[in-house]
Amino acid sequence: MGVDIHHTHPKEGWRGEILKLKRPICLMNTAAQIVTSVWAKRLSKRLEQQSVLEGSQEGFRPDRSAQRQISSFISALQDVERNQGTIYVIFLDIENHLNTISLPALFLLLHTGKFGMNENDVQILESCYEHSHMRVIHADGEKSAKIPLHRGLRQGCPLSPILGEL
Amino acid sequence: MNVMLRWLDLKGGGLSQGDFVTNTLCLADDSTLMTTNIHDMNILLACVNSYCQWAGVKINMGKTKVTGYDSKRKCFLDLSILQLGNSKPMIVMSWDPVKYLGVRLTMTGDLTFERENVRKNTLDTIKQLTKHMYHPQQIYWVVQFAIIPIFRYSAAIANWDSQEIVKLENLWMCAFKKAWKVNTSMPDVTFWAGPEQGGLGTPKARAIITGTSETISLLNQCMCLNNDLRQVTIKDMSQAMAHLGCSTIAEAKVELQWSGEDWKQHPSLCHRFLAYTSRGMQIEWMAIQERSIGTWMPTRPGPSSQMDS
Repeated sequence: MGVDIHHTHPKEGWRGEILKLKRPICLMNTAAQIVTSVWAKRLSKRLEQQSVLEGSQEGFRPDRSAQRQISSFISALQDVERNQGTIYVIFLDIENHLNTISLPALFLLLHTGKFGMNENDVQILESCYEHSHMRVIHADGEKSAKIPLHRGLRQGCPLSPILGEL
Repeated sequence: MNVMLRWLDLKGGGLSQGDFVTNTLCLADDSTLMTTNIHDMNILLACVNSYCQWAGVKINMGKTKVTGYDSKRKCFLDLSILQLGNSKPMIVMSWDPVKYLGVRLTMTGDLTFERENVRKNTLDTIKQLTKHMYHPQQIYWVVQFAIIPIFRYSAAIANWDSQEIVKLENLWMCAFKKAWKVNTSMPDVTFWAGPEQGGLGTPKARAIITGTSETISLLNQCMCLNNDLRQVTIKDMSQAMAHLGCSTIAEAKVELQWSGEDWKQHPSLCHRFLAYTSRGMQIEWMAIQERSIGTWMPTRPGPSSQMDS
């Protein structure tokens, strides 16, 4: 898992070669995907058992879905209409959320052992991120030079969504 | 992220739904803050700003949108004093659509834009089916897996009426006929009929909402956790039943068949559920309640123990 290959997938509204409008997708090997999927399941189970995540978080959790969230929002709007009240809503967009997560802070949390991952697993995960590099595949198939990875989670790793919620 | 959500939860000042007060809805990194007055919103934004500075996270102000609506006076609210750090978020009028988790809706609860968008996307995708090198079976899969899911995602939410559904089904039929390269005058029944009758058994939009149970699935999802959404759903059901003057699902079904009630006036999930129930959908409120966790029951009048299938 030391070196990741990053494929750049165009976002909505993508034009030309503007890098900001591309979404980097990490292509991991199958063995790494299987191991991280197991960790993701364990972590998810423990987070639910200990009610670590806030109730307002609906993403990547059992028995929850985007439709539920939309339904909840529409219910809130209907409630305001029924009670003839006022509502102020702000839709926040966090820039590059997974890419800006601080790895030292994250591993500090995982080392506490409260999140379902045992110390060995956390150390293996940490070593995967330590000294890791990435390469970017361009549209013509050419690979870039190695780029050291200092912060952020891999977009495409099964464990990243749940780590991003901590 | 969890730190910010906990912090916002402690600040309070959101919308009260049943026994719960909610000021945040979050799906992964997609957060929505809701308050009933502008000062509470400014307090929440100050929290978000502090969290961003602490965690080194940046808010994309180009994509952050704010909106407000006064339901009593039916007007837009002044949002000029709202500030996130040193920037002001983009203001959206309450009657303009906002894309929330892929669904276009307005603060007035209008989902017309979503239905229009589904229709437009369906049409655009069908247009791309004209020049291709795929054989009919592959195109058939394209329709099944690329065109129908456009509708399916928001089917239980978007409050479709019968006429719109018929128009959409006609578009699908057009796509299926293109896929098999048959004349448009060919009878539709060849596609709709099930395999046992010699047809292809293509799905119907109406069946996706009702029989195939997108609505029941969403109702199940809303009820499966003992939180504010469950309470709101039960309250909605109570109100829908009270509106009809009925105390059981069976009574409501008969009432709806007699009155032909237009549920466009009451576009909640439970109202639609009852409307679809009257069109032959089997069941299920008791089953949904039994499957869901917790023992909380609604206050009468409502879908209490007298509910039957």
